[in-house]
Amino acid sequence: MIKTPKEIAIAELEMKKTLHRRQFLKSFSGWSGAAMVGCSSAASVLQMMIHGAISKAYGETLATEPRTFLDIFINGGFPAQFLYLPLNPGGGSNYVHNTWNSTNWVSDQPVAGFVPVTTNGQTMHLPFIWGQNIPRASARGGGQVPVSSLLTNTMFARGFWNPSDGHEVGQVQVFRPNPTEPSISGMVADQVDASRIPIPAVSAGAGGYADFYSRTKGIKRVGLNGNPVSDLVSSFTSNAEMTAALAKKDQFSALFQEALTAVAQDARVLNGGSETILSTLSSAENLFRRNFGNLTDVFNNLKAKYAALITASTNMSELFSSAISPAAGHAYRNGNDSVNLYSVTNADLRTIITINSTVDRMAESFAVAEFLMMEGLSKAILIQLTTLLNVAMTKSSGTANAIIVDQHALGVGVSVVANNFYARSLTACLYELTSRLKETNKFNETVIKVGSEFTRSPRDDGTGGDHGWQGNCFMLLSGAIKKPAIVGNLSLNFYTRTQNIPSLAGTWGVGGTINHEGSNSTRLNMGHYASTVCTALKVPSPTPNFLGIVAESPTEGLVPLIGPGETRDD
Amino acid sequence: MKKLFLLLFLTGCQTNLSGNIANSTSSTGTSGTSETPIVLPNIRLGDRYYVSSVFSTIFQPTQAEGATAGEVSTIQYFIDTNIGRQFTDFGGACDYFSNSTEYCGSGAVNIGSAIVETTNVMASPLAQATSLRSAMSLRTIYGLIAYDPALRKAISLAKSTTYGAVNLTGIAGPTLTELQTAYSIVYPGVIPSLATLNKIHALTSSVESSYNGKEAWKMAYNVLLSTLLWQQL
Repeated sequence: MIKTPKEIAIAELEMKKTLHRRQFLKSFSGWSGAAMVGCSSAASVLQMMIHGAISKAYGETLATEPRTFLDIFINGGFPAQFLYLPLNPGGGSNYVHNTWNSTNWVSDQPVAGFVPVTTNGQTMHLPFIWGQNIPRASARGGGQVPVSSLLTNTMFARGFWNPSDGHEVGQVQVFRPNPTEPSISGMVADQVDASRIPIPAVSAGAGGYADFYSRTKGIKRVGLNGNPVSDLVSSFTSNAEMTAALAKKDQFSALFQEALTAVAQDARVLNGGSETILSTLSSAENLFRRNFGNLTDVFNNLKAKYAALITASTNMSELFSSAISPAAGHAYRNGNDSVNLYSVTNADLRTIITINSTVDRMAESFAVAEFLMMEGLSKAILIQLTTLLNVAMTKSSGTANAIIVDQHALGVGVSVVANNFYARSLTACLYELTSRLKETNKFNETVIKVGSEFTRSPRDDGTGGDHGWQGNCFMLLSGAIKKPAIVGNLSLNFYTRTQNIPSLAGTWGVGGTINHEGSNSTRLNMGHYASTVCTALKVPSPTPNFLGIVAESPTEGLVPLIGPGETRDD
Repeated sequence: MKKLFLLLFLTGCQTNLSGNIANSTSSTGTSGTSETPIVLPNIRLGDRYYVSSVFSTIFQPTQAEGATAGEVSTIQYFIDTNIGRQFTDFGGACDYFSNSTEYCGSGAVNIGSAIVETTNVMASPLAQATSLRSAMSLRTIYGLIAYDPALRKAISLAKSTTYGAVNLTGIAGPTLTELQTAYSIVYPGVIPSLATLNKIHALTSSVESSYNGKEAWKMAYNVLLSTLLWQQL
C-alpha cells in the first residue's frame, strides 16, 4: 500500500513529537533525580506529570498555526516598574522599597505608588499607571477608560536572569537566546503558512542586535520614515509590465493553464513541497491583482489616530493633581542625555511633558502593526520604541528636549513624570490596538509582548538607575489569556544580603527562586523566557531544554504553570 | 493527494492527469512502502545567488555578444534589485566575501571590500517559498520579458543562434523545436514530452495569431518560468 503524502506528513509529525519528547526527557533527566530525592512531594510528582503533558502538547503545537506575535520592544532598558513589573503584587510586607522604584509622587515625596486593582474577583497591586485612565480614540467614543481595562487579558512574567550585563547581550538573549536557532520572531516565521501570510515576519524601525533570523522564510525590515506600509507591500505593487503580462495571461487563460500544468508535470519536480511554491505563486498573483494602491491615506490616518492618543496622554495633571517640586538642586531633579548629567530646573516637573511630547515613532510603529495585523499580512511584527521626544526640560544651563530610555541618572522626580507619560501613551495605544483585534476576532490568536533587554536596578539616593540584567520581565496581552496573572518570583533584598551592595538595596526585580522543573530553587533564565513566549505563540522554543512557565488549557486558555509570583527572602 | 491538489490548482480542475500520477508512484505491493521516494514538505529552493544566475543565464547578454553596456547593466541591476538584494526572501547567507551592505543588510560593516561584522543578517542559508519570494520572481520574469535586449538573449538561446542574429521586428513565434530547447534551458536535463510542447505551442500560436511573434516568445518564457518550480533544488 502506498503511503499518501498526508500519511507521510502525519508520520513526520509523530517523529517530531517523539523528538521533542526525547528532548524533554533529556532535559528532564537532569533534574528528575533531585526531584525524586529532594522534593519527592506529591506536588513535585504532579508537576512532573504536568510537564509531561506540556511536553506532549508542545509536540502537538508543531501542527498548529502560530499566533500572531507583536513584539513591542522598548529599546534601552525601560524601568519596567512603571508598567509591566509589579514589584509587590500581593501588597504585603515582603517588599523593601527603594526610592528609585517610586512611581508616584505624594505630599512632595516619591512613593512606591502601587495600586490595588480588582479584576474577576482577583486583587493585584500593580504599578501606579494601572490605576489611572487613558484616552480612547474618538472613533470609539472618545473620553477616557481605565488602564485596567487591559488587565483581563494580561499576564506579567518576572524574574528572568540575563547571562550577563550589557544592552547588546540583553537584546541578543531577548530576541535570539539560542545562537543556533532562529529568533523568536523567526520561529513564528518558520511556522506560518506561507501561502496565506505573505510577509511572514516584519521588523519595523531601528534594528536591535541579532534580532532577525528565520531559518527558512526571512524577516522583512522596514524603516519608519515615509510610508512604511507602502514599502511593505511594494513587492506586490503592480506595474505596467506586470499589468500587461497578467492581462495577456487572462486573455489566454485556458491555454495558459494547460501549458503551465504540462510544463510543471514534465519538470519532474512535482514531489512533496512543490504545491507550496505554487500556492505562494497563486497568493502573490492574487496580491498583484488586489492592487493595494496608494496607501498614503491609510497610513496617515492610522498614524494620526495613535498620535492623537499620545497627545491626549500628555496631560500630567490628570495623573498628578499637585506639583512635583523637589527642592532645587536635589538629586531627584537629575536629568541625563546619555552624555551629560544636569539638574532639571522646571519649578513643577510635570511641565517637562508638553502637548507636543511623544515617544519617538510610537504612533508610526502602532500604525504599521495595526495595518499588518488587520490585513493579515504578517504573523510576527517587531516594533522598537525608544526616546521620549519634545519634552521641555530647563536645566542649569540651557534646555533639553529628549529623555533616553537608557536612564542611568534620571532623578526620581523626573522619572516619575517621564516614565508615567511613556507608560500612559503606550497603554493608550495598546488599548486601541487590542480593541481593533477584539472587534475583528483576532485577539485570541494574537500575543503582544512588551519588554526590554532588562529592567533597571536602582541607586538608593534617587539619582537614577542602572542595568537590571538580573531581573528581566515582560508583559503578555492576548485574548488567549482569560484572567490576569503574575508569574515569576522576585528576590527580597538579594544584593544587600548576599553581596553587601547597599546601593542595590530593595525589591527591585531581581529574579528569585521558584518551584519549577522539579526544584524549589530554580532561577529563571532567558531560556525559560523564550520558552514561555513560544508556548504562548504555539511555536517550538529555540531553547527547549528550559520549560516555559505558562501552559495552554483548552478551556482556560493561557495559564501559569507555576504558582502566583511572590517575593522570596532567598 | 498533494499532486492532485497541485494539478487542481494548475488546471482549475480542467485536466485529468491522474494516469501520470499513478505511474509515478505505483505500488510495490508492500504495505507502508513506496516504490519511489517521497519528498517531505521541507523543500529546498535555490538561494538568491542561484536564482539570479538562472535569470542571468537566460536573459543577460554580454557586450561581446553585441549588447550595449547600458543594456547589460540594466538587466544586471534589475536582477540584483529583485533577487540579489532580497536576502530575506531568497536566502543566501552573507559571507566574508560579500562586499556590500546592500546585499547583507544594514548591520553589515564594511572594511575594505569585505563584510567583517554583520549584526543584523537576516538571510537564511536556504529560504523556502513565500508569497514575497514568488512575487519578486514574477516581477523579474515579467520585467525581463518586457525588456527587448533580455528577450533577444532568451530567444537566441532557444534558437541556438547568436544574440546579434535575433531581430525582434517581425520575428516568428517559437517552433516546437525552439520550445523544446527553451524548456531545457529553464529545466536543465529535462526533455519535455511532445504533448507538453504541443500545449505550449498551442498557447504561443494563439498569441502570435492575436498579436505577433514577439508576444508569442514572451508568452513562451512566461509560461516556462512562471511555475517557479525551476527554483526547487
